[in-house]
Amino acid sequence: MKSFFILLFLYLCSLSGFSQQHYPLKLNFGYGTAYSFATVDGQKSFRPHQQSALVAEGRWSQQWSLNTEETKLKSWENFLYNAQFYFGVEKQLNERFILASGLEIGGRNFTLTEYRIQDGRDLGPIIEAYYANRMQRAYLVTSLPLLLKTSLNQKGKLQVLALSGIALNYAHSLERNTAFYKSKELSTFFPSLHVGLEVKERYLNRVSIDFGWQIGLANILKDEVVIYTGLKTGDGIQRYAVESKGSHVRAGICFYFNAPSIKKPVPIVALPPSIPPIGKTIDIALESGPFQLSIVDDQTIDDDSVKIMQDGQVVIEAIGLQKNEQCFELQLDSTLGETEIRIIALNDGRIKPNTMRVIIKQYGKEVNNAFIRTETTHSVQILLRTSK
Amino acid sequence: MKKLNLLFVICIVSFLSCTKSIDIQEPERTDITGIWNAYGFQDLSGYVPLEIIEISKNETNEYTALKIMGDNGVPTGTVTWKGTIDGGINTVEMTFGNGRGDFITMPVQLEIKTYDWLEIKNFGLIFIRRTDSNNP
Repeated sequence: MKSFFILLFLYLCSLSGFSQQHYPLKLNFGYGTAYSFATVDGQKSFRPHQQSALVAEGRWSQQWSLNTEETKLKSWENFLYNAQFYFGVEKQLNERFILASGLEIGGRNFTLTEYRIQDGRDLGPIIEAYYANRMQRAYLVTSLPLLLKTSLNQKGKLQVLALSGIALNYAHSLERNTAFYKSKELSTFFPSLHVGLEVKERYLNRVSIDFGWQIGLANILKDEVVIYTGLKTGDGIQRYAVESKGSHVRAGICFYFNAPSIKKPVPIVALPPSIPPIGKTIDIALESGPFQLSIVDDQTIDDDSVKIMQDGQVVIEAIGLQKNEQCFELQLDSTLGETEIRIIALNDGRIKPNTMRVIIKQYGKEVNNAFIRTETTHSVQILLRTSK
Repeated sequence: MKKLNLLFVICIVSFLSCTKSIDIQEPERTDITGIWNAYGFQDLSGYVPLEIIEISKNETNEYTALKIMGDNGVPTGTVTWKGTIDGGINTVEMTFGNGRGDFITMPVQLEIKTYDWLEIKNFGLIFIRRTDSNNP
């Protein structure tokens, strides 16, 4: 168990290492449901005896009762069994691919019913009132998914992503024995494959809905049902194994906490043939070493986009200005004495001129915070001089 | 990075709390009323593997077992036995049918093994309380 947490911690740390690059790491919270099912002796339904039938039925997580009297669980425990909760991190690799991971906790459940079948009847229609025994079985699953999201369309308001990957799961079920159903307390690790689709609004990028199918690769229950129909007919008491591989169909909604990482596809005007002349210069004294340059559009978001250069080299080819800070880590070389940062407006947005706030931070302190307005005809020069 | 740390802590706390063992207490039963599965009944065609009865109690403390799912001899909707229960072994009046609508009653010994298990040994009948529960 300890090694699992250590691996989980190292894994999340390694993901956080991406955050300094062009696409910041995105955090999200998801809420969803899962439809899971089971088999008895490898079948969905069968007749252990002429006059009885065993039927395993799939159920959605939300069908787990929140009534504490009924489930004998505490309210918060019922709450966990009743849905899927997902805390996720996402790293956009490029315009097309996103790597997603996180931690998911949720309940899966199914029912197993023994029906009394009237003479001469086939398995269906089953008369609901004549069920002999019923068990609503549930287990809790904690998952660590690793998914690759592939954008299926590069244009349009809605972005559709194909999801594929694996999940490492930890299932936990409790022991409870009745005359009909025997279950053992069991904690099992099992892998599963994930395929699905996600749809999100491309520009707001705050909410998405997803549908998926997860295929479990190992049985995670050691349960059995006990059938007494043969008690007096010579067959004796029969026992059948109940299996569930954790496979399920799922649907959910996901909310993103921080800034959208996808660059807005702003209508980029043809790039100026050369670097436009300097319209404004800002002088800042810094210590040599790394510093952070953040840009933010604190006015109306009107699809402004800029290009950023450092000492004649393009650092960021094109970036859409957003409400949230977009931060880039750059280096100030002490041997040069000074470094030139050039911010070039690629368009004027919907409302002229191109406006932004440029924040320079070093060693956790804000060194400069300047409001800049520029046009495609003039660029802004920031001269960073080493103070030591 | 702060957010990530917070997320990590939330995840670990949630994970640990989920794996905590939950103490499940089955309700303590105080009588035999409820839905029961009956095993060992026979009609003219032989053993009927499974029948379902409902046991209820009236104000005079008399228990009545009604067939919810019966057989050709004593069909659904018929009282299969009734009597006063006041100990481990009780004498109750049991109904027998010939499949043509004629019924007779005779006293039999009903033994209460537990509040989930009853037997009428003379006729090889076993009653097991119907299970309808949640199992996390």
